[in-house]
Amino acid sequence: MSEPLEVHDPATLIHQFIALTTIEDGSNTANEFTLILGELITEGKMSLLEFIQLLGPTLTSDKDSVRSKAVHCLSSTLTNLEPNTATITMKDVNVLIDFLLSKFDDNPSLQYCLRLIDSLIVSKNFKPSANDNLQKILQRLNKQYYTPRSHLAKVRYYAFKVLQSLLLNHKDYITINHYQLFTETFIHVATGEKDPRNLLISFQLNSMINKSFSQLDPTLVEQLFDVCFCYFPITFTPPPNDPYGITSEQLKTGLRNAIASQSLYAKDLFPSLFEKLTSTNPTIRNDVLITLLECIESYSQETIVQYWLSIWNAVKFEILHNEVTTQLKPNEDYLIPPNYITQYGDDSEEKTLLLVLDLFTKILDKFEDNYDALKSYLDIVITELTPKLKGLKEKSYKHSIIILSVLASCNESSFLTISKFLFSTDIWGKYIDNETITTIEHQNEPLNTSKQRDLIDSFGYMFIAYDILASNTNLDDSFTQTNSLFTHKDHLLIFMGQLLQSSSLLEKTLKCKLIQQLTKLIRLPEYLNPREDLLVITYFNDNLISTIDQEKTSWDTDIVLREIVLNMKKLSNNDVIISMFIEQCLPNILNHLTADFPSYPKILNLLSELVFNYRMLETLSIRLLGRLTDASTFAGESQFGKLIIDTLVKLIINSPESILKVNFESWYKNFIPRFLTSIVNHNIDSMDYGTIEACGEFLGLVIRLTHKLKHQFIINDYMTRYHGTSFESMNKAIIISNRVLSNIDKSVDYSPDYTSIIGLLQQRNGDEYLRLSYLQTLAIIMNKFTKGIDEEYLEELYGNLTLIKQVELFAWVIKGLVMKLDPLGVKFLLKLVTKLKEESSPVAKAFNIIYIDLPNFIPFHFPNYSNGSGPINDVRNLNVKPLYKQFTFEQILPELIEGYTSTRNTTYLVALSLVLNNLPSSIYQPHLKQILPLIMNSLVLNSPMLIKASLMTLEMIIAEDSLVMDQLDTIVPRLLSLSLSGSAETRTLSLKCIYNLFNGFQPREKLFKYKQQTLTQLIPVLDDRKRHIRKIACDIRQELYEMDV
Amino acid sequence: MNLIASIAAHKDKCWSVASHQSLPLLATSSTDKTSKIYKLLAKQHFPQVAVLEDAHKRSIRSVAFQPPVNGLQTGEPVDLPVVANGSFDLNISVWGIDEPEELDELESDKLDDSDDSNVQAVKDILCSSNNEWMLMALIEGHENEVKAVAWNHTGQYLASCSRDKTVWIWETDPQTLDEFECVAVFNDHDQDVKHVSWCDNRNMLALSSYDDTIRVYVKEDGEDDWDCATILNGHTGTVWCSQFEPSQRSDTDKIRLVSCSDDLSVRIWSSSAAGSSSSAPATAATAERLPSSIKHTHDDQIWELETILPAVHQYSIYSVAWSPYSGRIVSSGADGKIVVYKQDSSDDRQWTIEQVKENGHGINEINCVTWSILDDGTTEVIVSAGDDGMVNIWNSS
Amino acid sequence: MSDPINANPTVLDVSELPKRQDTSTKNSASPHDKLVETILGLSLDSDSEADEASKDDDIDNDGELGNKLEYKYDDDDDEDEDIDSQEIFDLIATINDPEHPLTLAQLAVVNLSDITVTQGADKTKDLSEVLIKITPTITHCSLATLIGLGIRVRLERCLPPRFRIRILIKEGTHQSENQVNKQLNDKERVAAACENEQLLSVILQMLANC
Repeated sequence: MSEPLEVHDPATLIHQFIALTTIEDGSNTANEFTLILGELITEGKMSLLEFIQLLGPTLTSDKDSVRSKAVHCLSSTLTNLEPNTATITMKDVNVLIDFLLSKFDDNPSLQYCLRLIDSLIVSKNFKPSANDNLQKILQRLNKQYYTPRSHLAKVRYYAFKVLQSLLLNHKDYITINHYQLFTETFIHVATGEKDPRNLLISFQLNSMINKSFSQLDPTLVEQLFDVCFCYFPITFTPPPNDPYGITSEQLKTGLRNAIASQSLYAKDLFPSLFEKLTSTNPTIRNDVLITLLECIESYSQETIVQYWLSIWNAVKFEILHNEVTTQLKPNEDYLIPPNYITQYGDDSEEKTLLLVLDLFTKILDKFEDNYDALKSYLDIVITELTPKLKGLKEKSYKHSIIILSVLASCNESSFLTISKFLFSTDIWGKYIDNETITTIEHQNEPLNTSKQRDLIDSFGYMFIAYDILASNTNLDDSFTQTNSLFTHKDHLLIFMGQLLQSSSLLEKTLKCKLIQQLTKLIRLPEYLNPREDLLVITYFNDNLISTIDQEKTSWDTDIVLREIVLNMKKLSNNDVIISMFIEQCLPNILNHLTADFPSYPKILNLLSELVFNYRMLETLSIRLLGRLTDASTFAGESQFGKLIIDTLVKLIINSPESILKVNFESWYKNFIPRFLTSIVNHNIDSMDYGTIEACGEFLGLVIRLTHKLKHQFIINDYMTRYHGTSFESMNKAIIISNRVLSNIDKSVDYSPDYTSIIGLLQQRNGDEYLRLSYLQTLAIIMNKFTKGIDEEYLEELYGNLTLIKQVELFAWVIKGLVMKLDPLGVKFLLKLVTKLKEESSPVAKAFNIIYIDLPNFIPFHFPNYSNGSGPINDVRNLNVKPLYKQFTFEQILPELIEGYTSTRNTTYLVALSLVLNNLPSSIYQPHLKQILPLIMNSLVLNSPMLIKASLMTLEMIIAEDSLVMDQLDTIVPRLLSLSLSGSAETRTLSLKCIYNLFNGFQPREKLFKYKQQTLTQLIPVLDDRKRHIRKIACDIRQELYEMDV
Repeated sequence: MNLIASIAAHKDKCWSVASHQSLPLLATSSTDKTSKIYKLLAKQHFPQVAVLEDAHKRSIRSVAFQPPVNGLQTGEPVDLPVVANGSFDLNISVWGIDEPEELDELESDKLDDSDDSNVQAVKDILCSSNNEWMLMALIEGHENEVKAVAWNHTGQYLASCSRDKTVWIWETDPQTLDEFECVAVFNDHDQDVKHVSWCDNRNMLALSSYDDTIRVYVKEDGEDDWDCATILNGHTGTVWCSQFEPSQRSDTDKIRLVSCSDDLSVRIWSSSAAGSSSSAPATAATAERLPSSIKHTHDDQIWELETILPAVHQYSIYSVAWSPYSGRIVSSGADGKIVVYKQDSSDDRQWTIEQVKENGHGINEINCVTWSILDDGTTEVIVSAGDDGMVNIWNSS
Repeated sequence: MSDPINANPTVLDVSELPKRQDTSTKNSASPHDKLVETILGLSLDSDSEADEASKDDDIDNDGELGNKLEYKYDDDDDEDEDIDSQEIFDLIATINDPEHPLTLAQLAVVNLSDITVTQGADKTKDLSEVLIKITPTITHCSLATLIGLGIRVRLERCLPPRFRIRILIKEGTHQSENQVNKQLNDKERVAAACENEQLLSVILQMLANC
């Protein structure tokens, strides 16, 4: 159909257009024609008159199809015109309007007429008054000329459009001259509408009318009301292929806005809404409530003044007699959840409850500036709720309290009224006022624990109310000082305090509630004064301590204690409180921190839990370090000292970034000297290596956290004061020195004479661990404190590797070098592989030394530190090339495999498995194909060390790769036999492998044939001497029993 | 009692084991849904003769050999071995072999060689693993798991009992086994019937039940209907198994029955079988001629508890067997003990414990014990079947 | 399961359930002790003697080099950890109740105090016994048998065969105590039940979290 595009003769175009058999809207060809026609007109190649003349005969043709198409042509041509073109003059408009209105009786054409009218209305030459266009249009759309029911939804749509355009573009004119007529017309057009798309406009128009025309007469209002409310409640499910994609939510909101747009609706609306409230369907009830909510918000105050009572009466049952008890917690920060409308489903009973509460507050908000209304409203509410508040047992007690609290949270005056009421003698006063506490009326309802709980909860809601109020309005002193919550402060504190102190340890939930609410009190602005804060903290302290002191091993999981810790965290941003806590509680807790207190490890955990900010960290650290300085801490077998240090370390490592940011310089200055002096100069000989390592780690941490610029000072200071400049004799302090050397920034100027260490290592020395520590020193120095080592020297070392001692020495030296991929290091690493030729040479084990990760050789990073490995205070402590393991592994692997295949010498297997165990699986993943056969070989050899190593690798392979599937026939039986013999570790490892095998991603159908065999062979393992091994066996069997294909 | 051999017969629980009356054959059944047949060679080596599988979808609870009717003499038709399996899958399967050609060859070159050797030859042929065991019949009818099956002495009736509280009697042609027709159903028990066993010389059978009782049923020769002769009350727990005293033992008229139970006791019941009922088949003819009025002689059978054997077991006793050869009784059960009781020569109500074998199957439970004779025809052995799937063979003499 | 017979049972909080108080220091050993052991494991020197030493008292025939790395775990001289009631409890505590979305322990159907373990002197010969008394949530709980069956299946799968398992309804907690007990301890019935698909699938559900 490209042909018509060339022909630009209007007549032809028109005829072709009319010739088109069917024209669905926006069918391209039709558009093309009309567009071209449009262009012709805009470009002035054809006047509107000429155009109409050309259409002339067809416009009047008595063939419906022809006529309607003609109008269609006219309409879409002109509609396509730029609305503001002058091409259509005012006169044209008038003529067209008249012409189009005259065609209203021509059903087939009507749709196109309306469309054109609609577009004319917005054109700039449309003058509503001129030629009475607007009035005429309205009249035409009215009773005698336009009957909606006889037209398609599509046609009716344009009728609505016309009205909409009129009101949008000529609102003022209509308001002044024709609002009556317009409204009538709208009612006529809208009556009986069913199509969702049209309804949307209908609702819009409805509310626009109500908003625009102030003095509508009542009958019209009634009709307007009927024409929208008749659709309530809307239950609409969009048809599968609805072109306009209209949702039921759109309709609902549209309708609600319409309903809410006219205060005068109230008269008819509220009764019918209330009547719908009786529906058993929660969705409808919620819909009603939301509608009410909007009406209350948008209706005039007078209206609400007039109707609030009936509203209250209608909806109060929804909450007072509702079976579902609300989820509202007395220890939240809100009463009505902020976004409850969206977070609960339309049919949620809970939502109903919240809507009602919301409703009550909305009414109150309406009355903010109308004291009388507000007063009478509150009076009614209070009088009606009073009976329900007489006794705590009342079912609706909780809900009544919630209603009141919600209202109280709205504004100061209501808070004053309600709190005054609640604290009056017959409600709460009788429980808490010491004066009345003994009077008779209280006796007939003694408080048992459950009632006490309810009471505390009900306080909670009022506290929240106060909190909300405070956060929304800045309270002036007159209020804060006079409200009953404040005036009863002392009673409250004493009452709650006594309960907390007196109630038995068994009534834990009550205690927890008290703790929550007391915490709340502290957090209330302008409420407690420091003296009272302190009081509460002492309450907490007493409970904390008494919990610890009771002879229960599991005191640390006691919920009361947990509650206190939790709530202290809530208060952690309040410095006053924190310092109170530090002064009050900390010492008492620390008193329990003695080696003879059975559960001191738990105390340490508790303490580390209590570190919420830097101040706590610092204080706690000082106190703990204090312990370290006295010798007794490390005396004897007890792990005491070590545990303290572990805690210190944990404290720092697990601290949030914010804390790590703090400059630790003062630390080094203040505690470290005391710490070191006590450790190195006094206690070190009585300490076991584990403890010394712990101390070392701690010191290392502090150094890492101290700014780089200080490091030179630190190293000099440390070396002179605690280490001594050279290495003439072995000394336990080396363990700590290693940590210092490892953690100090590598840029510092320090060049020890490593040959002296080597010398030291030559002389036989009984103590294994010390020797190994010095070997580490050597490796560290090789890594960061030598400008480079000369090849001859290494050759010399390599030359006499026959001595185990030499192998060891050599390995550590290489370790230090390989880490930074020193060319020499790598070269000699490869030479080392060749040494494996010699059967059972200790060289194999050297590879473990070279690849193992030890604290002193890992660039340290803090778990909680955002950029994980990122240097803190730009300290760079070690020379570690990130890929050194991969790089070197890739080089030695071929050698190892070659070596083994040619010599069948197990030393290669040992070396390989030792390397593998120290590699992340990602590195050897690509080489599994070559590695696996060697692993299998090692599995059948009788070296536990080999087996262990191979199992560890195998476990990883099984978990990540299906390579093993081809080996199952060998693997499964071997693993099963290993799970029966071998060391506990071998047993465990092999079982883990089996477990992963059957539990992992491996294709089940392949494994199925091993099911029965495995089940049977595991039976003896069920009787293993080790519990954890039996456990795995059970788990595997459980898996297998469930396994099926 | 010393272990001659231990056969790893099954991958799972071995529920039951039976020995052939005239051939040195052993049949086993197991949770692994198979039933196996072994040959008992005195040279203490027990070759597997056949595996009966793929007939049942669930555990095979019990196995029973059809007793031989004729002898093994050539000339007359030879009894071929037949086995019945009862399974938890509600069905019963019957297995047998075709007559091997070798037998005809025997016919031909029989000449003057003595019967003994001939019999031996026949035995060897019948027990050879060359014979192909085939499924002859699959009998359906029970509504719940079949707990036990047993053949009567003529091999014409097969009895089966089930958790459906019923016992069915199936009649067949002992030679051709062509069809199994249900000729009687007993449903007097209030609970599972755990075990059924026949008297070896008359149509009398004992039913042991979960309802703690044993019922004895009798069908007089020539009669069609079966009558409940007695109900033996006394056990205070499930009766797991019971067995009649082998007839060649009891010279008296007395019929005796041994039973074992969850209540950890082994009891012997006896009936002073007055009147003609006690008469052996020979005299059955006389009974034939008597007027029917005085025929239901078993009505005046008086059954009574004769004795309770000395208690040894600590857990449920699942199985008890009465030796046709030595007259001894063996019992076994959940505690893995195999206990052999001997009757006093003086007082037949007096039994003493001859031997106790602890841990017959290690720490596993023993589900079934039976007596058997090795192919040397002299060595009497006890065969036990355990949860470990093993079948153990014990020299008990 | 149709609508629960006992709609609102009393539920124990998981934290309240009895746990094994782990006294063994091995698990709580500080990272630093582990470190020390690892480092010692790196020593090549003095291997020679050590190997000689290990060669004799060496059950798992430690090869060369081995024993040092084993050092950390070589626990084969520790005392045995016998199967005790807590272990049994842990095995069955996590079984799901067939009608509530809760475990038997939470519903206090199984309680540590109602589990008795009797150990035979010699694992290889002597029988051991586990006696469990279960407390149905209500006296007419038709599921008591099913629950018991679930427990038995779980234990038969997880306990070595030397154990004889007795499961009883706690006295006075069920109308038809004896019937249920008899069923639960009838080997044959249990075995048959375990071959019944429907039952098995229910039990599979019950053991889903084990």
